[in-house]
Amino acid sequence: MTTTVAPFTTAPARPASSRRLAVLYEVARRPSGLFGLIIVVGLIIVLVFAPVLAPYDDAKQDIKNRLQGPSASYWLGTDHLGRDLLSRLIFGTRVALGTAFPSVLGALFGGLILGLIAGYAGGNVDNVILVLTDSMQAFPAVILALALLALLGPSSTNVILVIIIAFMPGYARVVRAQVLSVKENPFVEAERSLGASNGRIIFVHILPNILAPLVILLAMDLPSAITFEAGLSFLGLGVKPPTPSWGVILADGFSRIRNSPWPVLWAGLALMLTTLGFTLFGETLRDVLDPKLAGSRRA
Amino acid sequence: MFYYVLKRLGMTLLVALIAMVFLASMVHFIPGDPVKVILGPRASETLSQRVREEMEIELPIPVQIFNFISRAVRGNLGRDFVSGVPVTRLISQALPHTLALAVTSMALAGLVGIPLGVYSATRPNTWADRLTGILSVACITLPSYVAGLFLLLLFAVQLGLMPAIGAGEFSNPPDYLRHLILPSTALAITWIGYLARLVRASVLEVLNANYIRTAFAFGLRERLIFYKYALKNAIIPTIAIFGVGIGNLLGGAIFVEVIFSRPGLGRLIFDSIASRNYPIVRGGVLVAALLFVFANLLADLSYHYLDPRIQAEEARA
Repeated sequence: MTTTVAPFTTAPARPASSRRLAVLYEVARRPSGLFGLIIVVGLIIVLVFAPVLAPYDDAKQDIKNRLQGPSASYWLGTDHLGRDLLSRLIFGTRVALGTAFPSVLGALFGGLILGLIAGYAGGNVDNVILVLTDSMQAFPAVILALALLALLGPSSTNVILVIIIAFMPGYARVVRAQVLSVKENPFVEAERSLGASNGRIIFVHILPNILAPLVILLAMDLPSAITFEAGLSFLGLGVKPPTPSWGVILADGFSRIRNSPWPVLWAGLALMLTTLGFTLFGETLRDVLDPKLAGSRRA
Repeated sequence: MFYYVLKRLGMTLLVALIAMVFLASMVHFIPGDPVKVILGPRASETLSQRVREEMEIELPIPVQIFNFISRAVRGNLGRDFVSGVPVTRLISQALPHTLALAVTSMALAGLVGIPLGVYSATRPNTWADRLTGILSVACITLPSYVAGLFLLLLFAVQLGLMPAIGAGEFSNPPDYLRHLILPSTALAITWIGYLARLVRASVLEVLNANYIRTAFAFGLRERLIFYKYALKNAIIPTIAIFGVGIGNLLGGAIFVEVIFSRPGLGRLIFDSIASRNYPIVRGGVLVAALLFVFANLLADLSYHYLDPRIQAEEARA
């Protein structure tokens, strides 16, 4: 009797796109993840197809019909200049996500550089960066933002800059902690003993190993950046009118709250749903990618 | 413990010092004439000159920083550009309103959030638990200004049950409290969610401990076990987030004070930004940062003192 031995084969590595789909599938299998995913995908569709979906131009005024409630012509009513609230909310998605994405990515990039340097170099460099990030975090984020905007002046670019400055220390601390843990691994020691340069060790060996928690953090910080922008715009220090930021719609509605509740109600609900959707999506993504962290949340 | 307190205090003082250096030098980070940056391009020459003298712009930057810090340590944060009133006086008038708001909000968050967390933990994986979980996330994600606007809209504008603006009079406590209800609820909502989640997780962990099982075996009443024995240990981690909470509350207080027209620190900073009164902005931000830093220190030390495991680990190290 002869036995045949199957040739030793290794399972082909799953391509990155297939891994990403598997993660999304896992997220969608959980009710809260599905709810979050629906809102996130819905918002992205609204963002991309805003001109098609909006019934009117967001700046088109109909003074005769100002401060109207929901009707067949204006589904969500109109604001104090007779502008369609639904159209302004739809175009507002572009402002909310268009500010939040670059802000969080910028903060991630800055935090990544600071955290990599602090964690890898250690010693006095680490201490100096730690004290600096601690000092930045000594300011409540909104108050720091106000102090900076008082000097920089209100604008979309300045809001992005201020969010980057406010969020960056948090990323730097997470990256530093990750680097400290990864750099103790034997594969890093092995590379070092083979004479690999610091750059190679950082970018080829450490960086890929610390990206997963950062993706989770990124997803969970997006709703904070959205509320941050809307909050600053509400105070008149962010996006300037007539750009349809949800914060600007809230501010317009607040100043006429006794005449019409609709602008405040709809813009508030849009913010509520968006932050809830992104948070649920981010938390489920965290649970799927890193079950050890399940139940924890940065305060 | 003594070494830890000393180290933590030293770190806090260093962070406070760097925060002061940052605030003193911030105006020089922006390109252009610092006076133009502060007052805007349309400021009169007289006012520009007064600001130049008041802020000692002509002096070298390190001297300006040293002067600001040495005066701030002695309680002098400069003068209002317009009225000439000392900034410390304006802040001391506004701060009690903000502290009252922050303390009431924290108390409200504790009174609702902690029982909610215990209730949820004692019924794990039931509908009540899931509902509390959804409610907690919804509370956490609701921005304080949206909560404030919704409360204002419903209880002040539509139903007319609560005052919409102002803080009431300190001399009339019932009136002052009535003015606090809506703003403190708006600020507390996020923290109710956080506390409910945190307490749920801590209580669930504690409920598996041997001493709780022993208490059940002795036939003690459930309520006594949950609220006295389990909660006593489970509450410790919540103390750590109270420090962070003060910072978030101070940030949220700005929105709430603007919405309800409360004359607090947040409103003072906001109004000063609008009128480009930089010494008030700088002084207000510094006081908020110092409050945050020292609240964090206090929370950290209390946590350290109350949790014997941390001290034991330190002793072993």
